[in-house]
Amino acid sequence: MKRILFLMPLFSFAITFSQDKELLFAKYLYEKGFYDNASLQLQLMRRSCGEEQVDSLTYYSGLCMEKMWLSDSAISLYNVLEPENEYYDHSRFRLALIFASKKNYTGSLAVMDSLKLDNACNEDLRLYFADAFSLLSKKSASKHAFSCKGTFSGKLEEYSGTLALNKRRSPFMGGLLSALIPGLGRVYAGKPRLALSSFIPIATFGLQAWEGYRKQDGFKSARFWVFGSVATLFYIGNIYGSALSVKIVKQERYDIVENQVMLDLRLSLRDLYGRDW
Amino acid sequence: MISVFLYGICTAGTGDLSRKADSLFSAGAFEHASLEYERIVFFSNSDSARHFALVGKAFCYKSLKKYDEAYRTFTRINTENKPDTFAFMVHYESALCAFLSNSYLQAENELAVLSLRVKDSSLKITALFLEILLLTEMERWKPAEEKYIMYCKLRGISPDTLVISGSEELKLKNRKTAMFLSLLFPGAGQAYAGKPLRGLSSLILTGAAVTYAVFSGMQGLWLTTVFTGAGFTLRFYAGGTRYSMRIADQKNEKIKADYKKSVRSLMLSSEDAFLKK
Repeated sequence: MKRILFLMPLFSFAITFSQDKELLFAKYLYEKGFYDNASLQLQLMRRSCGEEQVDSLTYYSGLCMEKMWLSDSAISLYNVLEPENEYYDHSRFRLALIFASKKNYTGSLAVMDSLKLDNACNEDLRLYFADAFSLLSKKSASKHAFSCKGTFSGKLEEYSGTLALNKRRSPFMGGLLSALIPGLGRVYAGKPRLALSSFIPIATFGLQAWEGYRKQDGFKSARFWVFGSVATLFYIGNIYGSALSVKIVKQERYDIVENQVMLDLRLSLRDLYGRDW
Repeated sequence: MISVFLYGICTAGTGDLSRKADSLFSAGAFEHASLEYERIVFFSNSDSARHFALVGKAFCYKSLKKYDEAYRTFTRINTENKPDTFAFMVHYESALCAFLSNSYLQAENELAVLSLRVKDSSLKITALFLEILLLTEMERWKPAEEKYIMYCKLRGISPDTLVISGSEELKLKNRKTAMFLSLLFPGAGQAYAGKPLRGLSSLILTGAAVTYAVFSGMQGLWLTTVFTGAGFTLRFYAGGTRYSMRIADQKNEKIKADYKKSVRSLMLSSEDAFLKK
């Protein structure tokens, strides 16, 4: 009996030592990029580890899922973490980024709003994240007040300015300008070469319709009606195409800002928390 | 006793790990087996144990048809100063996995390393089979033919005319010839490239555009003659020329694909017949 009691600490040390080695192995797999192996290893460890280790392993599993682009699995794993866990705050930021990558800014904002932080640096980052998601969700910057301070706010103001300029472009105006002068709407959209390709068919068919009207029997001329109809079709298409061009250009410019914001968020997170694992 | 116990924990089971990994592999649990083989790589102090574990992991990926992962795993194995049989197996399997994942340049590199590293010529014969397939896929017909002659000599079989000068009888279409024929006579290029009906439709369309231009000119409708008549004529004429080149390319791709398939079947049946002997 005394021998068993003497050996028990040794056994528990052995178990802890063994679990540490397993975790080291899991970290090695993650760092080497063997995410499928790492995920399986962590899954096996979660089945046999103590309760105090489960949360950390869940967090690492979430990281592996993110790397494998399995965002739904990563979301379910991060949602399981308890606030007491040391990785809870970091996982909330990562969860918000996953929602944002799926364009679910409402979800990202909800995660940031529910996060309670004591540390001033972390709180500033949280406000920065919330402001960024709010900016991206509105796709504009009209009268936007930023809550975050420090270096983050300067960047957001710059992005906000870009989005404000972008907002001024209106698809309706693009269509209207093209209705007045074919192709002008595409110039307004910032695509002058496409303006020519809109204008030329309308001009050529229109001229041919006029020629048919002038040199043949006026309104009775078949050429007038055929070429006139074709020119009209191109004219209508030009109006629709110009409105669509403005919409596409607006979306492209928004996408550039969005990618830049997401990159800045990820870099800020890395600056604050260091490496993921 | 304590130090023995601790030593046991530290060194326990590279042998056990191997047995576990091998039994998982035999049972078809390849994902889990690959994890266990990587565990051996991580925990083992022995180079040879690590190399054999990497071979096991690569075969797991091969069984899962993840040929690019299998190739990457094989490239982690250092075959310098290793026996010929081991070096041959690693480089041959690596080349095979690269070939199966359509990375032909990498497969070629592996076969080149194999021929440098492996001195035993009887082993190199097995690689000839893969070399012939690879050279055929890379459309290097002459070197493939030379390797095939060597292969037949070593296997004691008579060469099939499919591979010997078979590539010379491929009757590939010259895209420049197709282009020049279309320039000389609309539709001739398409007919040469093997699509006579497309050539006929090109001829009809171009002819119709020319006729329309002529009749419009005769009626004094100069805008119509220039914009519609000449415009469509040029469109159909230039488009027909470009299209004839594209049809020639498509025809060549089909001829080459059929030839490669025939060579593959021939080589597989030859190798099968030899192995059954």
